[in-house]
Amino acid sequence: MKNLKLIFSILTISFSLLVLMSCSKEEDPVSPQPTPKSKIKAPTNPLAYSLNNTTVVVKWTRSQDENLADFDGYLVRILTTTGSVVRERTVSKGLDSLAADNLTAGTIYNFQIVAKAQSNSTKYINSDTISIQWSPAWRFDLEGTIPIKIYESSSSTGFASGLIFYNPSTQQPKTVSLLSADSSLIDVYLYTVPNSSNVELRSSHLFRPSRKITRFSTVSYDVNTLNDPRNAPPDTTTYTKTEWRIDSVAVSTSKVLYFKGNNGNYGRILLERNPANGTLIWGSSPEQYIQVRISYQSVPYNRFSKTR
Amino acid sequence: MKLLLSIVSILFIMNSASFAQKAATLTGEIIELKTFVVDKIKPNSPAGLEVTKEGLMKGGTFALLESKSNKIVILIPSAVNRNLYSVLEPYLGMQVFIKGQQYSNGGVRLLSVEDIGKSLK
Repeated sequence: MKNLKLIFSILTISFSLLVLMSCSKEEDPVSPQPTPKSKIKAPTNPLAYSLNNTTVVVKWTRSQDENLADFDGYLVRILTTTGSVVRERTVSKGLDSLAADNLTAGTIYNFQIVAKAQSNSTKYINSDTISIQWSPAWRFDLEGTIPIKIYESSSSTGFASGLIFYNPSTQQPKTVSLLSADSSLIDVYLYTVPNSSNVELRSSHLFRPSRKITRFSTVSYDVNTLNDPRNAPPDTTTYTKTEWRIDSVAVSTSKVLYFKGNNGNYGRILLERNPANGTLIWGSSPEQYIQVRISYQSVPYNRFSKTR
Repeated sequence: MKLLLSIVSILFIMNSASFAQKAATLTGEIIELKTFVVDKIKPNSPAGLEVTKEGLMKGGTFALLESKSNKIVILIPSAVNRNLYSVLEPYLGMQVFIKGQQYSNGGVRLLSVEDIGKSLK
């Protein structure tokens, strides 16, 4: 029993000494240590579309950390492809898009998006950067003051069956007769499929081999507007079609086709849905027509976001 | 203006039972009836366009000066184009074709505007 007491006493003294030693000034565990700051979760899924020849709209999925008190908003940095900053814009939290204006038509820009922490935050720093490349392109909803209408080739010469995407002298699209003086400028025309109510939007060279060649991408989207954000335009290898069939069947939305013009100018055509019959074809035979809107890249070999 | 409308209305009422109806596509220029008949102004110049639009805003009547016959056809709304001003105003000053139902009796012709487009003729 005596021995046990002795052992217990020795152990108690040893433990006390250990505790006292560990509480030395040099290693004080109670003193505050600077905790490392966490990165705010980044926004995801960057998308873009060209609104007009000077404006690109950038969209993203908002950061999951928006509910944090230290979340400040988003910073969109617009850079050239060589990395020089054109400008920076801030976007409030809760918003998920920015219309970046005053850009130059045909120039490729890199849009970087960052979720920002408040500058005085003690816990958080800015998120990682997400980025997307895009370029502004001309937008044509009208031919002058009137809707852009392309009539089927079975219509008489009084109806415009040919479309010039971009007439440099007017900086506008132009619809013309297939036999007009401007016929060599025609990019596409509307072909009447025999013995049917269907039509085909065809490359002009299929009317006369000497005329301009337009290729359509195999990629298309069923959407109602050209304001249709995407993460990238179709790959250049998809531009393999020279005609696009438009059947006289009811559809629920309009359609966007992608094309590459004769000089390497990329663009998009919105085939507008006719609410009267639910198809993409308007009017009645033999003067059926399609009504379109155009997004056109006047600088060749710029498919909006990537170089050739 | 009122006189013209009255004449048209009287002619219409007198012969309403016997107006022949057929589908037609007519080509020509859009005019405002009073501005063209009384003032002899067509919307084919900036000033003419301004005066024509003013006439239409004040309740004027849309008409088509047909190219082939050089005769006036009064334009009326259709089921698909109820608001004539919004449909026709963009085409003022250009050659157009208009598709629709034509109602005719004697010298009076009316055309419902079912479709319109730029005419290359």
